[in-house]
Amino acid sequence: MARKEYAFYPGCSSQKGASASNYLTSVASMCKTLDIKMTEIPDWNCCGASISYAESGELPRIAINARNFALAETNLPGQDIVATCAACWLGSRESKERLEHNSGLMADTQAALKEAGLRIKVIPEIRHMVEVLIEDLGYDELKKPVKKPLNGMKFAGYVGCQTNRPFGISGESFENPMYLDRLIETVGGEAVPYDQKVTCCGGALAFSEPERSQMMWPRRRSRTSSKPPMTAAPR
Amino acid sequence: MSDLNQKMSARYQNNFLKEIEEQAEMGEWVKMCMQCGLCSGSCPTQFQDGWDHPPQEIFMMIRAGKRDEVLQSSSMWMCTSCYNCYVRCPRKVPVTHVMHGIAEYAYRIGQSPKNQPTQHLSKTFWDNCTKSGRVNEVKLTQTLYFKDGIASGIKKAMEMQSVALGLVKSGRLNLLEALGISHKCKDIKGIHAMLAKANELEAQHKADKAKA
Repeated sequence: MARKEYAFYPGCSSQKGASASNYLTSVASMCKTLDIKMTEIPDWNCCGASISYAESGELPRIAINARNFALAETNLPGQDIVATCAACWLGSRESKERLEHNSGLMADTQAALKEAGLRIKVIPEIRHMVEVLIEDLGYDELKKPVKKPLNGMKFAGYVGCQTNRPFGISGESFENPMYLDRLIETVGGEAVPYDQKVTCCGGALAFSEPERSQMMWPRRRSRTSSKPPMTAAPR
Repeated sequence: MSDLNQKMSARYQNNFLKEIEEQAEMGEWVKMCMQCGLCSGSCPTQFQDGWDHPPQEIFMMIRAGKRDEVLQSSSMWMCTSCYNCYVRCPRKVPVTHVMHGIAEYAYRIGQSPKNQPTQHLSKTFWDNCTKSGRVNEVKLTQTLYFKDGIASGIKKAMEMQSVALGLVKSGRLNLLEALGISHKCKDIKGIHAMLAKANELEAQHKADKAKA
C-alpha cells in the first residue's frame, strides 16, 4: 500500500513519445522515491488546453473535461485527480468549478456524458502535482530523500501564469508566490529574487503568433541576475 | 455564416451589449466593468503593442454599440490566457473568459478577421484533439506549418529540422504520428457522440436566446 494514491491525468504532451515525455519520466521517478502511486485515469482524453475556446464553444469544452471526472470517479473511486500539466490542471479545475456552481450547465453536461455511457456523481478534487508535494507531503518530507543537495547553485524560480492564476498553489499570493523558491531551497539550492517570476512567457501564442510570443522573453531574461530560470509548467 | 451575422444583427438591433450578454460566453459580465483600467495595465501582450483595443476599451466599445469594430477586431485574439487581469479585477470580471467569449462569438458569426492565426490554431487544435480524444502532435504541427501553402510549409519545416531531430533522438517526437499512428482513446465513438450532443444543446440555447 503506497503512502499516497492518486488518479493520474498526464495530459497529451506528457504521453510516452510526446514532447514532454521527459517530464513523465521525471514524475515517475520522483513518485517512486516518494512512494506515491499514480494510476492513469483509464481512457482519459485531452482537456482542450487554453486554446480550444474559439472552436469548441463552452459546453463541449466542459464536457470533455467532465468525461475525465466521470472516468476517474468510476474507476479510481475516492482518489484525487492529479495533473502534472498546468493547462490540464487549470482547464479541469475551471470545469469542475463551473459545473458545481451552475446546475443548468451540470444538467447539460450529464446529458452529453450519457451519450458516452457516463455519469458524474461527485467530481473528485483536481490537484496539481506541486500541490500534492507541498500540501500532502510537505517541505520537510521532501527534504528527506535528497541525496545530492544542489549546494551553491542559484536558481530564479519562474512560476509563470497557469500554475499560479487563477487558482494559486496552497493559498499563496498571485503576485509573489514563494513555493518554488522554497522547493529550490528544499533540494539545497539558492533561490534568487526574481521580479519576473509570474510574468507571462507568451507560450499560448507561441504557435500562432511567434513574434509576439518571443517579444515577451527579453523583458523576462534581462531582469534576472543572470541565473538560469527554473520552471514548474510544461507548455 | 454571414446569414447568422445578419440574423443576430437584426435581432439585437442597437443593443450590442445585450447581444454579447446572451451570445458570448461570460458576456453578462461586461456590464460590471467600472473602467478602472487594471486589466489593460496588467496585460502582457498589451505591452507589446498587441491590442488595437485593450480589454477596458473593448468593454466600453461594447456598451457604446461599436459592433463592427469589436467583432472585427484582432484584439481579443491577443489574449494568452495568463489570467493576470482576471485575478486583479476589482469587480471580479472573468476578463480572460470574456475576451475568449467575444472572440468565439465573432468567429461563430463570421465576423472575426479572416486570417487570424490564433483562431486558426484554436480550430486546428480542437479538431485534432477531438478526432481521437488526444492530440496528435506531429499532425498538429504539420497542419500549422502548411496553413499558408506547401512552399511555406516546407520552409518552416526545414527551419525547424535540427529541433525536430533533437526531439526524435530524445524520444519526444514520434514520426509515426504523421501517419496517424498515435495515442488514441478507446471510446472514440462515445466521445464523438458526447460532443455531438454538447454541440446540439449549446446551439439550441443560443438560438432560444436569440428568439425575440
